[in-house]
Amino acid sequence: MSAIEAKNISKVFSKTEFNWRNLFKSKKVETTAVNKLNITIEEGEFVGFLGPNGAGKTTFLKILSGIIHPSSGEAKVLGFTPWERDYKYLGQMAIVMGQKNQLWWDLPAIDSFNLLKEIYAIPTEVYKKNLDEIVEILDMKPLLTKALRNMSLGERMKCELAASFLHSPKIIFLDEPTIGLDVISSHAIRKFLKKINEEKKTTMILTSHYMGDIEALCKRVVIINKGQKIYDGGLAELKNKYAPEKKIEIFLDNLEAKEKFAKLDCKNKKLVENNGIIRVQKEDLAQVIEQVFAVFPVENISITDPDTEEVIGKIFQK
Amino acid sequence: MLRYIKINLVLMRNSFIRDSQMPGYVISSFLWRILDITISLIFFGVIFANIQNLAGWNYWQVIFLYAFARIIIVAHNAWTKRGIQSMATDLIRRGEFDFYLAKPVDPMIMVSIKSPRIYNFITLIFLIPLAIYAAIKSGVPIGLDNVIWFFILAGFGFILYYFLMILCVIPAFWFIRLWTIAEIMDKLNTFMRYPAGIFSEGIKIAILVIFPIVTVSYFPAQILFYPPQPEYIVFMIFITLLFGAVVRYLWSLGQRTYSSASS
Repeated sequence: MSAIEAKNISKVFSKTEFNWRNLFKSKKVETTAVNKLNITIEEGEFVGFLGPNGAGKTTFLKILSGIIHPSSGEAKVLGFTPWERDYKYLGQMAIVMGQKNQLWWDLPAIDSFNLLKEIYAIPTEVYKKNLDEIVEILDMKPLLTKALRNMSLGERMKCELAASFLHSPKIIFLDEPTIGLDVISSHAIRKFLKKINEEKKTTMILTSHYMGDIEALCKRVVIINKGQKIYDGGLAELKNKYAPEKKIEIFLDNLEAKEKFAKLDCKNKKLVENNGIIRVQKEDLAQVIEQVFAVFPVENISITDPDTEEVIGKIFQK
Repeated sequence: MLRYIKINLVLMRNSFIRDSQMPGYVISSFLWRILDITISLIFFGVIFANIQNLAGWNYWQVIFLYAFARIIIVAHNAWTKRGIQSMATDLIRRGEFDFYLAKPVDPMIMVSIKSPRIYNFITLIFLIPLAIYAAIKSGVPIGLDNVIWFFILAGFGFILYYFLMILCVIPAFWFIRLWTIAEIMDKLNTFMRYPAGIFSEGIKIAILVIFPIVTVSYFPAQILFYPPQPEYIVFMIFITLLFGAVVRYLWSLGQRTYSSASS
Protein backbone atom coordinates (compact mmCIF):
# COMPACT_ATOMS: atom_id res chain seq x y z
CA MET A 1 0.00 0.00 0.00
CA SER A 2 1.22 3.51 -0.78
CA ALA A 3 1.96 5.68 2.22
CA ILE A 4 1.28 8.85 0.27
CA GLU A 5 -0.84 9.39 -2.80
CA ALA A 6 -1.25 13.01 -3.86
CA LYS A 7 -3.11 13.98 -7.01
CA ASN A 8 -3.12 17.42 -8.60
CA ILE A 9 -2.36 19.21 -5.35
CA SER A 10 -2.29 22.99 -5.77
CA LYS A 11 -1.95 25.74 -3.23
CA VAL A 12 -2.57 29.35 -4.09
CA PHE A 13 -1.90 31.93 -1.39
CA SER A 14 -3.92 35.09 -1.81
CA LYS A 15 -3.23 38.32 -0.06
CA THR A 16 -5.17 41.55 -0.23
CA GLU A 17 -2.93 44.55 -0.64
CA PHE A 18 -4.55 47.64 0.87
CA ASN A 19 -3.96 51.01 -0.59
CA TRP A 20 -4.86 53.81 1.81
CA ARG A 21 -5.45 56.27 -1.03
CA ASN A 22 -7.88 53.96 -2.81
CA LEU A 23 -9.26 51.87 0.01
CA PHE A 24 -12.02 50.46 -2.18
CA LYS A 25 -9.63 49.48 -4.94
CA SER A 26 -7.65 47.04 -2.86
CA LYS A 27 -5.78 44.50 -4.95
CA LYS A 28 -5.80 40.76 -4.43
CA VAL A 29 -2.38 39.25 -5.07
CA GLU A 30 -2.19 35.51 -5.68
CA THR A 31 0.92 33.36 -5.44
CA THR A 32 0.96 29.77 -6.57
CA ALA A 33 3.14 27.84 -4.14
CA VAL A 34 2.27 24.34 -5.35
CA ASN A 35 0.98 23.65 -8.84
CA LYS A 36 -0.82 20.38 -9.66
CA LEU A 37 1.67 18.17 -7.89
CA ASN A 38 1.27 14.40 -8.23
CA ILE A 39 3.27 12.03 -6.13
CA THR A 40 3.09 8.49 -4.81
CA ILE A 41 5.38 7.30 -2.02
CA GLU A 42 5.51 3.72 -0.80
CA GLU A 43 5.68 2.67 2.84
CA GLY A 44 9.21 2.71 4.24
CA GLU A 45 10.63 4.91 1.46
CA PHE A 46 13.06 7.72 2.26
CA VAL A 47 12.42 10.44 -0.29
CA GLY A 48 14.34 13.68 -0.67
CA PHE A 49 12.55 16.83 -1.76
CA LEU A 50 14.82 19.29 -3.50
CA GLY A 51 14.19 22.74 -4.81
CA PRO A 52 15.38 26.31 -4.51
CA ASN A 53 13.97 28.63 -1.83
CA GLY A 54 10.28 29.30 -2.45
CA ALA A 55 9.88 26.23 -4.69
CA GLY A 56 6.93 24.96 -2.63
CA LYS A 57 8.61 22.09 -0.76
CA THR A 58 7.60 23.19 2.74
CA THR A 59 4.08 24.12 1.62
CA PHE A 60 3.64 20.64 0.15
CA LEU A 61 4.90 19.06 3.36
CA LYS A 62 2.50 21.19 5.40
CA ILE A 63 -0.40 20.09 3.19
CA LEU A 64 0.54 16.44 3.63
CA SER A 65 0.83 16.87 7.39
CA GLY A 66 -2.61 18.49 7.64
CA ILE A 67 -1.35 21.91 8.70
CA ILE A 68 -2.71 23.77 5.70
CA HIS A 69 -5.51 23.07 3.26
CA PRO A 70 -4.72 22.81 -0.43
CA SER A 71 -6.60 25.03 -2.88
CA SER A 72 -7.39 21.97 -4.99
CA GLY A 73 -6.43 18.35 -5.40
CA GLU A 74 -6.68 15.15 -3.41
CA ALA A 75 -4.30 13.38 -1.10
CA LYS A 76 -4.31 10.25 1.00
CA VAL A 77 -1.60 9.75 3.59
CA LEU A 78 -1.75 6.39 5.38
CA GLY A 79 -5.28 6.21 4.00
CA PHE A 80 -6.40 9.52 5.51
CA THR A 81 -7.05 12.94 3.97
CA PRO A 82 -4.48 14.97 5.92
CA TRP A 83 -6.35 18.27 6.21
CA GLU A 84 -9.38 16.55 7.74
CA ARG A 85 -7.12 16.22 10.80
CA ASP A 86 -8.29 12.78 11.84
CA TYR A 87 -6.62 12.11 15.21
CA LYS A 88 -5.86 8.55 14.06
CA TYR A 89 -3.75 10.05 11.29
CA LEU A 90 -2.11 12.78 13.39
CA GLY A 91 -1.16 10.15 15.95
CA GLN A 92 0.82 8.25 13.32
CA MET A 93 2.53 11.26 11.78
CA ALA A 94 5.19 13.74 12.86
CA ILE A 95 6.74 16.83 11.38
CA VAL A 96 10.12 18.30 12.25
CA MET A 97 10.88 21.85 11.22
CA GLY A 98 14.51 22.78 11.39
CA GLN A 99 13.74 26.43 11.91
CA LYS A 100 11.08 26.12 14.60
CA ASN A 101 10.94 24.70 18.11
CA GLN A 102 8.04 22.73 19.48
CA LEU A 103 9.65 22.13 22.88
CA TRP A 104 9.34 24.38 25.93
CA TRP A 105 12.10 26.98 25.87
CA ASP A 106 12.60 27.34 29.64
CA LEU A 107 12.26 23.70 30.62
CA PRO A 108 14.43 20.58 30.43
CA ALA A 109 13.68 18.43 27.40
CA ILE A 110 12.30 15.60 29.54
CA ASP A 111 9.40 17.83 30.69
CA SER A 112 8.42 18.49 27.09
CA PHE A 113 8.71 14.79 26.32
CA ASN A 114 6.37 13.99 29.24
CA LEU A 115 3.84 16.41 27.79
CA LEU A 116 4.08 14.72 24.38
CA LYS A 117 3.52 11.37 26.10
CA GLU A 118 0.10 12.64 27.23
CA ILE A 119 -0.71 14.38 23.93
CA TYR A 120 -0.09 11.19 21.94
CA ALA A 121 -1.48 9.00 24.76
CA ILE A 122 1.64 6.81 24.64
CA PRO A 123 1.48 3.90 27.12
CA THR A 124 4.15 4.31 29.82
CA GLU A 125 6.13 1.15 28.87
CA VAL A 126 6.20 2.09 25.19
CA TYR A 127 7.23 5.65 26.07
CA LYS A 128 10.09 4.49 28.29
CA LYS A 129 11.29 1.97 25.71
CA ASN A 130 11.18 4.48 22.85
CA LEU A 131 12.83 7.22 24.90
CA ASP A 132 15.67 4.93 26.04
CA GLU A 133 16.25 3.77 22.49
CA ILE A 134 16.27 7.29 21.02
CA VAL A 135 18.46 8.65 23.81
CA GLU A 136 20.97 5.88 23.18
CA ILE A 137 21.12 6.31 19.40
CA LEU A 138 21.37 10.09 19.61
CA ASP A 139 23.69 9.93 22.62
CA MET A 140 21.67 12.62 24.38
CA LYS A 141 21.26 11.46 28.00
CA PRO A 142 22.83 14.63 29.48
CA LEU A 143 20.41 16.75 27.41
CA LEU A 144 17.30 15.36 29.08
CA THR A 145 17.74 17.50 32.17
CA LYS A 146 19.14 20.55 30.41
CA ALA A 147 16.85 23.53 29.70
CA LEU A 148 16.27 24.05 25.99
CA ARG A 149 17.46 27.66 26.14
CA ASN A 150 20.88 26.46 27.33
CA MET A 151 21.38 24.05 24.45
CA SER A 152 23.34 24.50 21.25
CA LEU A 153 21.48 24.38 17.93
CA GLY A 154 22.66 20.80 17.33
CA GLU A 155 21.53 19.69 20.78
CA ARG A 156 18.16 21.34 20.29
CA MET A 157 17.66 19.55 16.99
CA LYS A 158 18.50 16.22 18.62
CA CYS A 159 15.77 16.92 21.18
CA GLU A 160 13.31 17.98 18.47
CA LEU A 161 13.95 14.74 16.62
CA ALA A 162 13.63 12.69 19.78
CA ALA A 163 10.32 14.42 20.52
CA SER A 164 9.02 13.57 17.07
CA PHE A 165 9.82 9.88 17.32
CA LEU A 166 8.48 9.19 20.82
CA HIS A 167 5.12 8.01 19.50
CA SER A 168 6.69 5.76 16.81
CA PRO A 169 5.22 7.61 13.82
CA LYS A 170 4.67 5.64 10.62
CA ILE A 171 5.45 8.69 8.56
CA ILE A 172 7.63 11.69 9.27
CA PHE A 173 8.13 14.94 7.41
CA LEU A 174 11.56 16.46 7.93
CA ASP A 175 11.84 20.06 6.82
CA GLU A 176 15.52 21.00 6.76
CA PRO A 177 16.40 19.19 10.00
CA THR A 178 20.13 19.85 9.63
CA ILE A 179 19.94 23.55 8.82
CA GLY A 180 22.71 25.49 10.52
CA LEU A 181 24.27 22.41 12.10
CA ASP A 182 27.97 21.56 12.15
CA VAL A 183 29.33 18.45 10.42
CA ILE A 184 29.31 16.30 13.57
CA SER A 185 25.73 17.12 14.52
CA SER A 186 24.53 16.65 10.92
CA HIS A 187 26.25 13.31 10.77
CA ALA A 188 24.68 12.15 14.05
CA ILE A 189 21.24 13.14 12.82
CA ARG A 190 21.69 11.43 9.46
CA LYS A 191 22.84 8.27 11.24
CA PHE A 192 19.78 8.37 13.50
CA LEU A 193 17.34 8.89 10.63
CA LYS A 194 18.91 6.12 8.57
CA LYS A 195 18.73 3.67 11.46
CA ILE A 196 15.08 4.43 12.23
CA ASN A 197 14.15 4.20 8.54
CA GLU A 198 15.88 0.86 8.11
CA GLU A 199 14.80 -0.75 11.37
CA LYS A 200 11.28 0.58 11.80
CA LYS A 201 10.44 1.08 8.11
CA THR A 202 9.22 4.59 8.86
CA THR A 203 8.34 6.50 5.72
CA MET A 204 10.42 9.67 5.64
CA ILE A 205 10.20 12.75 3.49
CA LEU A 206 13.17 15.05 3.76
CA THR A 207 13.72 18.54 2.44
CA SER A 208 17.21 19.89 2.68
CA HIS A 209 19.53 22.29 0.95
CA TYR A 210 22.47 20.11 1.93
CA MET A 211 23.17 17.58 -0.76
CA GLY A 212 25.12 15.54 1.77
CA ASP A 213 21.84 14.79 3.60
CA ILE A 214 20.08 13.74 0.44
CA GLU A 215 22.96 11.63 -0.86
CA ALA A 216 23.45 9.89 2.47
CA LEU A 217 19.78 9.14 3.08
CA CYS A 218 17.59 9.17 -0.01
CA LYS A 219 17.58 6.74 -2.90
CA ARG A 220 14.76 8.67 -4.50
CA VAL A 221 14.54 12.40 -5.04
CA VAL A 222 11.74 14.67 -6.12
CA ILE A 223 12.77 18.02 -7.53
CA ILE A 224 10.30 20.87 -7.33
CA ASN A 225 10.64 24.26 -8.89
CA LYS A 226 8.01 27.01 -8.92
CA GLY A 227 5.52 24.61 -7.38
CA GLN A 228 5.89 21.99 -10.11
CA LYS A 229 7.56 18.62 -10.09
CA ILE A 230 10.39 18.52 -12.59
CA TYR A 231 12.02 15.25 -11.62
CA ASP A 232 11.03 12.17 -9.67
CA GLY A 233 13.38 9.23 -9.57
CA GLY A 234 16.68 7.84 -8.35
CA LEU A 235 19.74 9.99 -7.63
CA ALA A 236 21.89 7.97 -10.05
CA GLU A 237 19.33 8.30 -12.84
CA LEU A 238 19.15 12.01 -12.14
CA LYS A 239 22.84 12.38 -12.88
CA ASN A 240 22.57 10.24 -16.00
CA LYS A 241 19.63 12.23 -17.27
CA TYR A 242 20.80 15.75 -16.52
CA ALA A 243 24.59 15.35 -16.51
CA PRO A 244 25.56 12.46 -18.73
CA GLU A 245 29.23 13.19 -18.28
CA LYS A 246 32.17 12.25 -16.11
CA LYS A 247 34.52 14.52 -14.27
CA ILE A 248 38.24 13.85 -14.61
CA GLU A 249 40.26 15.60 -11.95
CA ILE A 250 44.07 15.76 -12.20
CA PHE A 251 46.31 16.96 -9.40
CA LEU A 252 48.86 19.26 -11.02
CA ASP A 253 51.78 19.41 -8.62
CA ASN A 254 54.11 21.68 -10.61
CA LEU A 255 54.28 24.21 -13.40
CA GLU A 256 55.32 21.58 -15.94
CA ALA A 257 52.18 19.55 -15.18
CA LYS A 258 50.02 22.66 -15.61
CA GLU A 259 51.61 23.33 -19.03
CA LYS A 260 50.94 19.72 -20.05
CA PHE A 261 47.33 20.13 -18.94
CA ALA A 262 46.99 23.27 -21.05
CA LYS A 263 48.21 21.35 -24.12
CA LEU A 264 45.68 18.51 -23.73
CA ASP A 265 43.45 18.22 -26.78
CA CYS A 266 40.00 18.22 -25.19
CA LYS A 267 37.06 20.58 -24.62
CA ASN A 268 35.52 21.60 -21.29
CA LYS A 269 38.70 21.76 -19.29
CA LYS A 270 39.52 24.25 -16.59
CA LEU A 271 42.21 24.86 -14.04
CA VAL A 272 41.12 25.40 -10.43
CA GLU A 273 44.17 26.15 -8.27
CA ASN A 274 46.31 22.96 -8.50
CA ASN A 275 43.57 20.85 -10.04
CA GLY A 276 42.84 20.38 -13.69
CA ILE A 277 39.19 19.50 -14.28
CA ILE A 278 37.87 18.00 -17.51
CA ARG A 279 34.22 17.26 -18.15
CA VAL A 280 33.75 14.53 -20.69
CA GLN A 281 30.67 13.09 -22.37
CA LYS A 282 30.55 9.35 -21.72
CA GLU A 283 31.05 8.42 -25.41
CA ASP A 284 34.34 10.38 -25.48
CA LEU A 285 35.56 9.12 -22.13
CA ALA A 286 37.85 6.31 -23.41
CA GLN A 287 39.69 8.58 -25.81
CA VAL A 288 40.23 11.36 -23.23
CA ILE A 289 41.32 8.93 -20.50
CA GLU A 290 43.91 7.38 -22.84
CA GLN A 291 45.36 10.84 -23.47
CA VAL A 292 45.36 11.81 -19.77
CA PHE A 293 46.93 8.57 -18.57
CA ALA A 294 49.67 8.94 -21.16
CA VAL A 295 50.69 12.32 -19.73
CA PHE A 296 50.01 12.23 -15.95
CA PRO A 297 50.82 9.72 -13.19
CA VAL A 298 47.89 7.45 -12.28
CA GLU A 299 47.90 8.44 -8.58
CA ASN A 300 47.16 12.06 -9.55
CA ILE A 301 44.03 11.22 -11.55
CA SER A 302 40.48 10.65 -10.31
CA ILE A 303 37.36 10.00 -12.38
CA THR A 304 34.02 10.75 -10.76
CA ASP A 305 30.41 11.57 -11.48
CA PRO A 306 29.63 15.28 -11.33
CA ASP A 307 28.58 16.58 -7.88
CA THR A 308 24.87 16.29 -7.24
CA GLU A 309 24.83 19.95 -6.30
CA GLU A 310 26.14 20.88 -9.75
CA VAL A 311 23.50 18.71 -11.42
CA ILE A 312 20.72 20.25 -9.39
CA GLY A 313 22.08 23.72 -10.14
CA LYS A 314 21.95 22.91 -13.85
CA ILE A 315 18.34 21.75 -13.59
CA PHE A 316 17.22 24.92 -11.82
CA GLN A 317 18.98 27.11 -14.35
CA LYS A 318 17.07 25.47 -17.24
CA MET B 1 -11.65 14.36 28.47
CA LEU B 2 -9.28 12.36 30.70
CA ARG B 3 -6.52 12.99 28.17
CA TYR B 4 -6.98 16.78 28.39
CA ILE B 5 -6.97 16.61 32.19
CA LYS B 6 -3.66 14.71 32.04
CA ILE B 7 -2.21 17.19 29.52
CA ASN B 8 -3.38 20.03 31.70
CA LEU B 9 -1.73 18.54 34.77
CA VAL B 10 1.60 18.20 32.95
CA LEU B 11 1.31 21.80 31.72
CA MET B 12 0.49 23.04 35.23
CA ARG B 13 3.47 21.15 36.59
CA ASN B 14 5.72 22.59 33.89
CA SER B 15 4.39 26.06 34.68
CA PHE B 16 5.15 25.50 38.35
CA ILE B 17 8.74 24.45 37.57
CA ARG B 18 9.27 27.40 35.22
CA ASP B 19 7.69 30.04 37.47
CA SER B 20 9.62 28.74 40.48
CA GLN B 21 12.76 29.80 38.65
CA MET B 22 11.42 33.37 38.36
CA PRO B 23 10.45 34.45 41.91
CA GLY B 24 10.76 38.13 40.96
CA TYR B 25 8.07 37.75 38.32
CA VAL B 26 5.78 35.81 40.64
CA ILE B 27 6.09 38.24 43.56
CA SER B 28 5.71 41.42 41.47
CA SER B 29 2.74 39.97 39.62
CA PHE B 30 1.07 38.96 42.90
CA LEU B 31 1.68 42.39 44.50
CA TRP B 32 0.33 44.13 41.42
CA ARG B 33 -2.91 42.14 41.61
CA ILE B 34 -3.36 42.81 45.32
CA LEU B 35 -2.74 46.51 44.69
CA ASP B 36 -5.34 46.49 41.90
CA ILE B 37 -7.93 44.87 44.20
CA THR B 38 -7.13 47.33 47.03
CA ILE B 39 -7.48 50.36 44.74
CA SER B 40 -10.80 49.08 43.42
CA LEU B 41 -12.13 48.55 46.95
CA ILE B 42 -11.07 52.09 47.90
CA PHE B 43 -12.94 53.49 44.88
CA PHE B 44 -16.08 51.52 45.72
CA GLY B 45 -15.80 52.94 49.24
CA VAL B 46 -15.60 56.47 47.82
CA ILE B 47 -18.59 55.91 45.52
CA PHE B 48 -20.76 54.47 48.30
CA ALA B 49 -19.82 57.30 50.64
CA ASN B 50 -21.88 59.47 48.27
CA ILE B 51 -24.72 57.15 47.24
CA GLN B 52 -26.90 54.55 49.00
CA ASN B 53 -26.99 51.99 46.19
CA LEU B 54 -25.96 51.34 42.63
CA ALA B 55 -28.97 50.42 40.46
CA GLY B 56 -30.58 48.93 43.59
CA TRP B 57 -27.44 47.03 44.70
CA ASN B 58 -25.97 47.88 48.10
CA TYR B 59 -22.26 48.29 48.83
CA TRP B 60 -21.62 44.66 49.81
CA GLN B 61 -23.60 43.31 46.87
CA VAL B 62 -21.43 45.37 44.53
CA ILE B 63 -18.28 44.20 46.32
CA PHE B 64 -19.51 40.62 45.85
CA LEU B 65 -20.11 41.29 42.15
CA TYR B 66 -16.62 42.76 41.85
CA ALA B 67 -14.95 39.87 43.71
CA PHE B 68 -16.91 37.27 41.73
CA ALA B 69 -15.99 38.94 38.41
CA ARG B 70 -12.34 39.04 39.51
CA ILE B 71 -12.45 35.33 40.40
CA ILE B 72 -13.48 34.48 36.84
CA ILE B 73 -10.89 36.86 35.35
CA VAL B 74 -8.05 35.71 37.61
CA ALA B 75 -8.81 32.03 37.04
CA HIS B 76 -8.65 32.60 33.29
CA ASN B 77 -5.54 34.76 33.63
CA ALA B 78 -3.86 31.92 35.46
CA TRP B 79 -5.10 29.20 33.16
CA THR B 80 -5.96 30.24 29.60
CA LYS B 81 -5.26 33.93 28.98
CA ARG B 82 -1.60 33.77 27.97
CA GLY B 83 -2.15 30.88 25.58
CA ILE B 84 -5.14 32.55 23.93
CA GLN B 85 -3.36 35.90 23.66
CA SER B 86 -0.39 34.25 21.99
CA MET B 87 -2.66 33.45 19.03
CA ALA B 88 -2.92 37.17 18.30
CA THR B 89 0.72 37.96 19.01
CA ASP B 90 2.95 35.01 18.06
CA LEU B 91 1.44 31.71 17.03
CA ILE B 92 -0.15 32.79 13.75
CA ARG B 93 2.45 35.41 12.83
CA ARG B 94 5.44 33.12 13.36
CA GLY B 95 3.72 29.96 12.13
CA GLU B 96 4.13 28.23 15.50
CA PHE B 97 0.47 27.27 15.31
CA ASP B 98 1.69 24.53 12.92
CA PHE B 99 2.68 22.35 15.85
CA TYR B 100 -0.82 22.51 17.37
CA LEU B 101 -2.38 21.50 14.08
CA ALA B 102 0.00 18.58 13.67
CA LYS B 103 -0.93 16.99 16.99
CA PRO B 104 -3.87 14.66 17.72
CA VAL B 105 -5.55 17.16 20.03
CA ASP B 106 -8.02 20.01 19.65
CA PRO B 107 -5.86 23.02 18.65
CA MET B 108 -8.24 25.53 20.29
CA ILE B 109 -8.11 23.79 23.66
CA MET B 110 -4.41 23.05 23.38
CA VAL B 111 -3.52 26.66 22.58
CA SER B 112 -5.72 27.86 25.44
CA ILE B 113 -4.09 25.72 28.11
CA LYS B 114 -0.53 25.80 26.78
CA SER B 115 0.86 28.58 29.00
CA PRO B 116 -0.71 28.56 32.46
CA ARG B 117 0.61 30.92 35.09
CA ILE B 118 -0.07 28.77 38.09
CA TYR B 119 1.06 31.33 40.68
CA ASN B 120 -1.69 33.70 39.57
CA PHE B 121 -4.14 31.36 41.29
CA ILE B 122 -2.77 32.66 44.61
CA THR B 123 -4.89 35.81 44.19
CA LEU B 124 -7.96 33.59 44.57
CA ILE B 125 -6.99 33.05 48.21
CA PHE B 126 -8.00 36.68 48.80
CA LEU B 127 -10.85 36.94 46.32
CA ILE B 128 -12.88 33.89 47.36
CA PRO B 129 -13.09 34.88 51.09
CA LEU B 130 -13.84 38.46 50.01
CA ALA B 131 -16.77 37.25 47.86
CA ILE B 132 -18.12 35.02 50.68
CA TYR B 133 -17.75 37.83 53.24
CA ALA B 134 -19.46 40.35 50.94
CA ALA B 135 -22.36 37.97 50.24
CA ILE B 136 -22.90 37.46 54.01
CA LYS B 137 -22.55 41.18 54.82
CA SER B 138 -24.97 42.19 52.04
CA GLY B 139 -27.84 41.42 54.42
CA VAL B 140 -29.83 39.79 51.62
CA PRO B 141 -31.36 36.43 52.61
CA ILE B 142 -29.74 33.75 50.42
CA GLY B 143 -31.44 30.36 50.14
CA LEU B 144 -30.02 27.02 49.11
CA ASP B 145 -31.73 27.24 45.70
CA ASN B 146 -30.00 30.62 45.16
CA VAL B 147 -26.62 29.05 45.95
CA ILE B 148 -27.18 26.04 43.68
CA TRP B 149 -28.32 28.18 40.75
CA PHE B 150 -25.47 30.59 41.39
CA PHE B 151 -22.89 27.81 41.03
CA ILE B 152 -24.55 26.45 37.89
CA LEU B 153 -24.66 29.90 36.25
CA ALA B 154 -21.15 30.70 37.49
CA GLY B 155 -19.97 27.61 35.59
CA PHE B 156 -21.69 28.85 32.45
CA GLY B 157 -20.24 32.32 33.06
CA PHE B 158 -16.76 30.87 33.29
CA ILE B 159 -17.21 29.05 29.98
CA LEU B 160 -18.83 32.09 28.33
CA TYR B 161 -15.87 34.27 29.35
CA TYR B 162 -13.56 31.71 27.73
CA PHE B 163 -15.53 31.86 24.48
CA LEU B 164 -15.40 35.68 24.52
CA MET B 165 -11.62 35.60 24.93
CA ILE B 166 -11.30 33.21 21.99
CA LEU B 167 -13.64 35.38 19.92
CA CYS B 168 -11.31 38.34 20.43
CA VAL B 169 -8.29 36.59 18.94
CA ILE B 170 -9.98 34.75 16.05
CA PRO B 171 -9.44 37.72 13.64
CA ALA B 172 -5.70 36.95 13.90
CA PHE B 173 -6.29 34.08 11.44
CA TRP B 174 -7.01 36.70 8.79
CA PHE B 175 -5.14 39.80 9.94
CA ILE B 176 -2.01 38.08 11.33
CA ARG B 177 -0.59 40.94 13.40
CA LEU B 178 -3.03 41.94 16.10
CA TRP B 179 -1.23 42.82 19.27
CA THR B 180 -3.93 45.23 20.47
CA ILE B 181 -6.80 42.79 20.05
CA ALA B 182 -5.24 40.56 22.69
CA GLU B 183 -5.80 43.33 25.22
CA ILE B 184 -9.45 44.03 24.38
CA MET B 185 -10.69 41.74 27.13
CA ASP B 186 -8.57 43.56 29.72
CA LYS B 187 -10.45 46.75 28.88
CA LEU B 188 -13.88 45.13 28.73
CA ASN B 189 -13.35 43.40 32.08
CA THR B 190 -14.13 46.72 33.77
CA PHE B 191 -17.82 46.37 32.81
CA MET B 192 -18.11 43.11 34.74
CA ARG B 193 -17.78 44.74 38.15
CA TYR B 194 -21.00 46.81 37.93
CA PRO B 195 -24.69 45.82 38.03
CA ALA B 196 -26.19 45.88 34.52
CA GLY B 197 -28.87 48.32 35.71
CA ILE B 198 -26.46 51.28 35.73
CA PHE B 199 -26.00 51.21 31.97
CA SER B 200 -28.27 52.79 29.37
CA GLU B 201 -30.48 50.52 27.24
CA GLY B 202 -28.18 50.59 24.20
CA ILE B 203 -25.08 49.74 26.18
CA LYS B 204 -27.03 47.06 28.04
CA ILE B 205 -27.89 45.30 24.78
CA ALA B 206 -24.25 45.54 23.72
CA ILE B 207 -22.79 44.09 26.92
CA LEU B 208 -25.51 41.57 27.73
CA VAL B 209 -26.30 40.22 24.28
CA ILE B 210 -23.99 41.33 21.45
CA PHE B 211 -20.77 40.87 23.40
CA PRO B 212 -22.14 39.49 26.69
CA ILE B 213 -19.23 40.34 28.95
CA VAL B 214 -21.53 41.56 31.75
CA THR B 215 -23.74 38.47 31.45
CA VAL B 216 -20.72 36.45 32.66
CA SER B 217 -20.78 37.97 36.16
CA TYR B 218 -24.10 39.79 36.52
CA PHE B 219 -26.54 36.91 35.91
CA PRO B 220 -24.98 34.49 38.41
CA ALA B 221 -24.69 37.30 41.01
CA GLN B 222 -28.29 38.37 40.33
CA ILE B 223 -29.56 34.82 40.92
CA LEU B 224 -27.66 34.62 44.21
CA PHE B 225 -29.34 37.68 45.70
CA TYR B 226 -32.81 37.55 44.15
CA PRO B 227 -35.37 34.78 43.56
CA PRO B 228 -34.19 32.58 40.64
CA GLN B 229 -35.96 33.63 37.45
CA PRO B 230 -36.27 30.97 34.72
CA GLU B 231 -35.76 33.50 31.93
CA TYR B 232 -32.36 34.46 33.38
CA ILE B 233 -31.31 30.81 33.59
CA VAL B 234 -32.50 30.00 30.08
CA PHE B 235 -30.86 33.12 28.68
CA MET B 236 -27.51 32.36 30.33
CA ILE B 237 -27.46 28.77 29.08
CA PHE B 238 -28.66 29.78 25.62
CA ILE B 239 -26.13 32.57 25.15
CA THR B 240 -23.25 30.38 26.34
CA LEU B 241 -24.19 27.62 23.90
CA LEU B 242 -24.74 30.16 21.13
CA PHE B 243 -21.34 31.78 21.62
CA GLY B 244 -19.76 28.35 21.90
CA ALA B 245 -21.19 27.38 18.52
CA VAL B 246 -20.21 30.72 16.94
CA VAL B 247 -16.67 30.53 18.31
CA ARG B 248 -16.26 26.92 17.15
CA TYR B 249 -17.50 27.80 13.67
CA LEU B 250 -15.29 30.89 13.30
CA TRP B 251 -12.27 29.09 14.67
CA SER B 252 -12.64 26.21 12.18
CA LEU B 253 -13.15 28.78 9.40
CA GLY B 254 -9.97 30.57 10.50
CA GLN B 255 -8.08 27.31 10.79
CA ARG B 256 -9.05 26.53 7.19
CA THR B 257 -7.62 29.80 5.96
CA TYR B 258 -4.46 29.49 8.07
CA SER B 259 -1.51 29.70 5.72
CA SER B 260 1.33 29.24 8.23
CA ALA B 261 4.53 31.26 7.89
CA SER B 262 7.37 30.75 5.44
CA SER B 263 10.25 28.56 6.55
